Amino acid sequence: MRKTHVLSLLLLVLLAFPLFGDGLGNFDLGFTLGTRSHFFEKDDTAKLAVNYGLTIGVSDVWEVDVTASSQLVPGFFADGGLQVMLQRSLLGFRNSGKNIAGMGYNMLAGFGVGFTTYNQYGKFYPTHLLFTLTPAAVGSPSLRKRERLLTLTLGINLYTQQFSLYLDIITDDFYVLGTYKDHPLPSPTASPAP
Amino acid sequence: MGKRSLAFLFVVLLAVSSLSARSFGYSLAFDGEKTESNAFGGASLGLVWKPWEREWCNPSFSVSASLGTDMAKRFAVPSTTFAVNVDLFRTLNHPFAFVAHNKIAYDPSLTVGMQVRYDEVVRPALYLSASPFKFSQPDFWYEALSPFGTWSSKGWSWGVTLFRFTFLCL
Repeated sequence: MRKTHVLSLLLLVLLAFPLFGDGLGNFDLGFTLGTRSHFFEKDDTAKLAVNYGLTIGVSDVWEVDVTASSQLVPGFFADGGLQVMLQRSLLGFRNSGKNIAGMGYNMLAGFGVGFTTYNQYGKFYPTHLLFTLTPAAVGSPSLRKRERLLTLTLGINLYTQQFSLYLDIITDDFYVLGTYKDHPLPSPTASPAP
Repeated sequence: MGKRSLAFLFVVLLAVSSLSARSFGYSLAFDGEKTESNAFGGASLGLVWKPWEREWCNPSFSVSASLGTDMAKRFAVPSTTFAVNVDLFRTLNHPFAFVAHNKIAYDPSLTVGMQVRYDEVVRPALYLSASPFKFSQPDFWYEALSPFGTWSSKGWSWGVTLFRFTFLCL
């Protein structure tokens, strides 16, 4: 599968989001920026990497994260990968889609697919099965910002039969849709006359 | 000035600092650096002193040590850095308000300093850095994607500070 096929697949996934509700960003949509360390993957030589992309709320408890990770040091954007993750909040609803905020503290767990060149062909293939756990997510889409801390992701490289571990010490989510600004409180009704 | 006078001055400084805005703090950064023959990735721990609250060209002083692993995955402490950071300006009117829940100021900064390098031979180096995405609240600074470069007798090296969090506590 070539890179264009992967991008086409992603586009299809994004286009399919209206099936989940009233449309993309029905619940929330945000940008993601965070750290990324990759352990036990012999082909990954990054000493510093950045993780960035989109986090898309598809229901009150489910979200899809489409993120890229790029090596910054030693080679500036010399290597990287792409992850598509489906995650569920574990400690209550992440966003109500209404004027009731989601939980300010949450945990997330999920699974997904990682696309890298870490295979014997050196091509950009779907190489990894990913299982992820975020023990602390502070903030919520409704509050416009969320910080995910110490996210651990187990990766299984199906080509090399190798296990690896991703550690994202901190990931910031900046929400642009589905925040309290999109769910204003109803205007107070006049109290009945005594 | 004798040792006793210096100690007295330090105690007075600490005592007075509690009467004003917090000016001493510590920092944690995630960074990586590429040198001529190696690369390092890890964290930097530092101490910060910000004596003034100027709106333009506000200086602060820092000392930090970087630690992490090199390309051979060996633990390394590549450098200690003594630096002067200058916030070019500080404004609340900026397009990055979404980065924080509360009102946050945007104050991009430039840094110049001296670095003591421990990789290969111990040697001094010139340290230069820019923080185009620096935000501050009264006791918290937040920096992202700050490039830096150092020059020593071994030539230039470069790196990126992905995030730096600075907390002013005294």
